[in-house]
Amino acid sequence: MSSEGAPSGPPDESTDDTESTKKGTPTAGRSATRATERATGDESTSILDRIETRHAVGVAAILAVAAGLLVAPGVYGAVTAPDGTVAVIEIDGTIDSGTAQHVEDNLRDARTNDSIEAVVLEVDSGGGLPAQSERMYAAVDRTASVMPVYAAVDTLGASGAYLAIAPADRIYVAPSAQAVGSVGVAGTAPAPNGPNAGTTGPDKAGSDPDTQRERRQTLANLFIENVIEQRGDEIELDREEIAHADAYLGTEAVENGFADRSGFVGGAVADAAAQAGLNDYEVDTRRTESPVPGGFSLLQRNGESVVIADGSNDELGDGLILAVAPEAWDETVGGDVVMTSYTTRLPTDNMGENTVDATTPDDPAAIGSDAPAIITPPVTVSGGDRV
Amino acid sequence: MSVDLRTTVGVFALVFLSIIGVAAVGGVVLDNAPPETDAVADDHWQLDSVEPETVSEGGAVEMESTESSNTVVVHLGSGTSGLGGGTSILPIEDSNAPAESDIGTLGGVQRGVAPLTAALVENGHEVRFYGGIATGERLPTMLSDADAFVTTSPGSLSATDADAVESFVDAGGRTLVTSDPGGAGALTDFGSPFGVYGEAGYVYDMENNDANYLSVIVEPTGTGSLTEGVERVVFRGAAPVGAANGSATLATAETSQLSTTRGAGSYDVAVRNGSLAVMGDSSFLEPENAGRADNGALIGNVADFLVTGENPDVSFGPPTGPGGAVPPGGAVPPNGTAPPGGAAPPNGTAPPPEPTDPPENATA
Repeated sequence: MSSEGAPSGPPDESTDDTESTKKGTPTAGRSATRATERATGDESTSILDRIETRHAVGVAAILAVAAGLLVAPGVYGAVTAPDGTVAVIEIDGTIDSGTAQHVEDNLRDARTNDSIEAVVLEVDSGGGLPAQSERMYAAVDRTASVMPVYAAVDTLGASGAYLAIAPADRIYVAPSAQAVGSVGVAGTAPAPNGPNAGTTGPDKAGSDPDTQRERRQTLANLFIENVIEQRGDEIELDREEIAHADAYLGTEAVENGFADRSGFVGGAVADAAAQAGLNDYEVDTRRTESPVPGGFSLLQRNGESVVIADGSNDELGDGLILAVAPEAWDETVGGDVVMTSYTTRLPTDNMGENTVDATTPDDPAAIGSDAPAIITPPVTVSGGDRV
Repeated sequence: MSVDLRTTVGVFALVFLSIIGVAAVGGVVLDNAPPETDAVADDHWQLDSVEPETVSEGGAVEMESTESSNTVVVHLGSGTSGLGGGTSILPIEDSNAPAESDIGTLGGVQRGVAPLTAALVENGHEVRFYGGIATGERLPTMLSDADAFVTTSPGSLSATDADAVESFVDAGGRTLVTSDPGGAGALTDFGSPFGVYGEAGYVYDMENNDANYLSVIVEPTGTGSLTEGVERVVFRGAAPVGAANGSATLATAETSQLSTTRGAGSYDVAVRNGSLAVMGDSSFLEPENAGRADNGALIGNVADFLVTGENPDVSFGPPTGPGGAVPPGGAVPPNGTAPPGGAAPPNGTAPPPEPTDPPENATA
């Protein structure tokens, strides 16, 4: 077989594949004819042999080029792709269930998504509901155990929002941030309840004042303990000073350890990426999906379940206790609702102006003369005819 | 052909299963489940570690005095303001939509001193509430028949009434004045003739308190009838008060701080000058607070203080003389009407110059 094909084969191969294929076919045909005479089973083997020897390489090369072109973009992409992703998760506005879900969901995603290597919390919130703040606290703590979690505070990172970011590995604050800290809770003053024929038990309309007072303090203690648990080593104030619940400027917060350094989201992202070992990374920003519309009162009277009356009502019901900084009080419960004093007792002669600083001894007078967000004075709720 | 088919199927199955096998094994080997996260530390969430410390509960109000019936006039400020009594201004239910079956209310301002008044009446004494100048009976008239006087709102006394009380105190009428934070000016105005004043601000304590920084623990500064059997009292909102003779009876703990200065230290929150006792808090009289710590004992002592001693020898010009005869012939025509502002000429004449000698003059 080789003796027959040798004279004509070699010259053709070096010139043109197509031609050689054509010429090769008769040769193969002859061989096949002889093979058929010997045994039918040898036919295919002979054909394959002849194809492999000369042309398979060519075909393979073509296929390889095609395959290479197909795969190359992927390889190129893989080589040039970011090493990982830094997720920027927003914590904005009043903290309620929506905020907590947003943060918790995105942090869970960060933990389970292989590409996300670090998280930066972009914070501008004065707090909200304590339990929801605590929920975010737990999510941040959990996430921080597996990847760098940094927080960057703009104007507000106070009260419930501060609780939420306390477990972060590092807290950046704008030097001019106006409220960082405010470790405490606030609500309406404890008040007794009279007989109410509409309830099935004496405490259904609200527990007794002593219990209200103790529970409020318990919530405050939980808050304080959480902060000490997470940042006890960094914060240079003692427990009592923390419990004063002051809200610090950014530059003060860096000094007293409520924050770690001055900075903004950009710097936090870069540092978080570096901490995660990412030389090349992309940023995935997760904004709050449905921000609370401006002016919307979080806590309102809803049918029989009174939370805190909105501005249209003259009285405060037995309210929820909130982890809200004074600076954010207005946007949280509405401008018409103001804290009452601890005894709700007002002098007759200058009702409404006088005052006993209520929930916190810190004087927020700098906010402005008519700032309703201040929790201080025992002003009644819109309209004083009740008193 | 049958061999080829078998071989072909076999190869297919082999390759297919190999791929699946590699995928499965690879998945198991390479699969990185969500990284193990550390559990959130929750030891500090246990109630034991965050429950606030509170004072003891269950104290009772008991009087020791065996005095025969005394009359105590109690003034609580404006009845509509929730003043003094410590009564919340919060309604039990919406006042605009009262419950269908109204079986009672929280109570008026009088409930704020109920433990004290109950103890007095229980021990055979008479309690009369004075509702302010707008009400029927005038304070001087009531005081002329009274043995003791209590006000939780000195600032809401009219000038005339304040003068009457001043005369009453001068005549030896036992008087209890409570002044809450915010009432420093009014207290000073009222108490300065007796060397008693109020200080601005409030006292708070972040360490020793009854579940709130405002609920300071107050202790006696020495021994005295007002503080007998009293070790710790809770004031829900303590206003610092002082006296010229330094006769403090109750003071806060060293850990307390004054709101205005933030200075830490012990602050006097109750003083006594003769027949006048001043306390920088009225909340201890409230029914909810009477059982806390030794508040009940203090209330009992206050009740004893009010009913123990000589009957004050006091009367007021106008009430004694019918018609308008007395004012002109009263002890002090020159400047008598000025302080009251002319609001009540008939009974406003006596007070100003009275501090020293009016009782005698008036009765003479």
